[in-house]
Amino acid sequence: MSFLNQPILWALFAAVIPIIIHLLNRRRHRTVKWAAMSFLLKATRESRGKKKLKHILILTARTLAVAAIIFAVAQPLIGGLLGWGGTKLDTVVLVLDRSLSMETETGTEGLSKREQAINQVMQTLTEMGNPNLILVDSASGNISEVNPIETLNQLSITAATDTKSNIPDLVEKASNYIQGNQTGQTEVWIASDLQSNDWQPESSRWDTVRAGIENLPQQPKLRILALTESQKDNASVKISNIKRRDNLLILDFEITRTDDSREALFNVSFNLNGKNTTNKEYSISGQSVTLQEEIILPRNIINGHGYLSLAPDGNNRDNTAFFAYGEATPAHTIIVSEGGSSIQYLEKAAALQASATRAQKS
Amino acid sequence: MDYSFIDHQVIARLGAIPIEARQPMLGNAAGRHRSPLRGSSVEFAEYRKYVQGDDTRRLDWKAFARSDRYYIKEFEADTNLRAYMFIDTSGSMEFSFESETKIEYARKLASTLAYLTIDQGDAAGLSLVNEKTHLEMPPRRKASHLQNMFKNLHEIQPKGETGLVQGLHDIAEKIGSRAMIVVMSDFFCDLEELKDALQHLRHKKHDVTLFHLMDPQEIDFDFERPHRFIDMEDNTSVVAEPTIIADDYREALQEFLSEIKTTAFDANVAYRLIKTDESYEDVLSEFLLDRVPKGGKQ
Repeated sequence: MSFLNQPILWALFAAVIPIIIHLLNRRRHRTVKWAAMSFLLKATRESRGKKKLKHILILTARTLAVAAIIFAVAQPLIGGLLGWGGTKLDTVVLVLDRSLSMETETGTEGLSKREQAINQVMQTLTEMGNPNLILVDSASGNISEVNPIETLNQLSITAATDTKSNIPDLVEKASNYIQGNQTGQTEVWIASDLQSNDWQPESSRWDTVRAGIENLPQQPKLRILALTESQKDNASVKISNIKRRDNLLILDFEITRTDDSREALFNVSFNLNGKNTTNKEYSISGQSVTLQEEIILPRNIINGHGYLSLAPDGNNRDNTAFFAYGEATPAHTIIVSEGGSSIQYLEKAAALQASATRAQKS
Repeated sequence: MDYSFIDHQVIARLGAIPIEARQPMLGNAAGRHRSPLRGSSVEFAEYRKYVQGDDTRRLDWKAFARSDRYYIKEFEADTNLRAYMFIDTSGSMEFSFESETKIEYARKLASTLAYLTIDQGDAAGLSLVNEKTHLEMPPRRKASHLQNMFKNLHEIQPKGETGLVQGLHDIAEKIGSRAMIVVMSDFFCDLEELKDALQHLRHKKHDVTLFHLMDPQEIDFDFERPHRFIDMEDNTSVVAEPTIIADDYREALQEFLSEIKTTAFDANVAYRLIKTDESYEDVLSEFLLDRVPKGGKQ
């Protein structure tokens, strides 16, 4: 039997909690001197049979209730004779979240969340007798049929991307597909790490999606393969601003990390025009820090490019930030300010004017 | 010496209510209680025919003048009350859960009743019984006797099994007839045997009252976790899960309470179930007021 949320099954150990509590309670009895002993002995004799059985049944029911809740949370996928109602599943429409955050590695196997999701889907569908698999991937937004299922992890449409996902849009596409095709007994599986910027829970699009699914002639089951396990420590880098002054390139960049419990050293490599220029270490104590670095440009090269990168971690796809530079722009405007937010507005206003001037000249 | 079980304010409040006997008493001195015998009080009882040997001084000559027959004029005899405090001091009387022990409650009842009895000129006595009767103080009217009673009440150490039934038979034989006997116990004994003992006392025309002392926890049995219960009388123990046996326990106890009430009713003795978290002043007040004759002295 397969489960959409298999790691939850570890919680089945919790099913023995009622029994443990019962045994601990029996061991931790108090001693009390008692006068009305004859009634107590009489009650104990009378309760030994039926009441004890009733107590055992209650204990069993508690244990089964805990186990049932855990099973339900694990979302079992049962097909064939053992399935709910015994009907066979014909089609699975897989909505695959291929956003950058799905590349985060979790666990000890070194697999990203996307890879884990794909493996789990392949294994489950094989166990369920290979129903039709329709893939809606978040990067292209296209709908493709995957056949055979074993090729799912080799397709370019399931590979890693740096894109964002729009889950309501993808679910709507899945709904439209089901409506437009004779898919039979269908389930929609959404493999995602439940990032709110991908799911857009406040979006009014969800109303349309809900209405679309409700209008389907045969209601498909909607299952979510949630990949929310805690990830390995991860840090990301992005460039927030870049300025060139003569042969000096001033880079403002931001390092953000997931584990901010203690101070840590981050090694940043700077690469300019294909050559490593410097490696620097920065000590970070909070969750995020904005840094500035000046790079001396070679005299003879007017345009160029480069990148800065962090050491490998939980998600290697956010460890590199690229930049490019061109000819130094002469300063037309000099802003003198006491600081504060006004300087940013003035700077932007001056930049627009300079740009317009250049446009007129050209 | 001051004893913790004596509250003078309670005694002062209860002192306003006299202790009355429910039936004629046989005392050893003149008092305020009716006697079954004829005596020399001012209260007229009845006329009866003169028989040979009667004191001629008691002939009613006016009646003779009217009827030409000899009549003896008889008057009521007034006597004192002999009150026995009969206390069960078996191990179970030491039980308490959150309120005071049953024996402590019995001390308060007995000492206050004894004080009130002697204070109104009657006699009070004390009997303590566990496996057998281990202390007997015959009724006396003196203040020094009251002090001795308090001392003995103070020194009670509940232990062993109860010999309540045998103690009641013994006292029924020893104290003659027509006394007031107040029994304080939890009555954890055979109720058939208890019924025989009570009927023995009633046969001797004693005015018997049962004060049935129970701890509230013994009645409610309000435990949650498993407990090891150790018998206070013979130290046997049993581990029980109260959540399982509570209903059966309460049912058995209610059956016992109902049976003892029926036993008291059948033996024609007064019965009062007392929870040890009740005010003993209220209990005694109710006891005394219940005995005051309705519509004046009988």
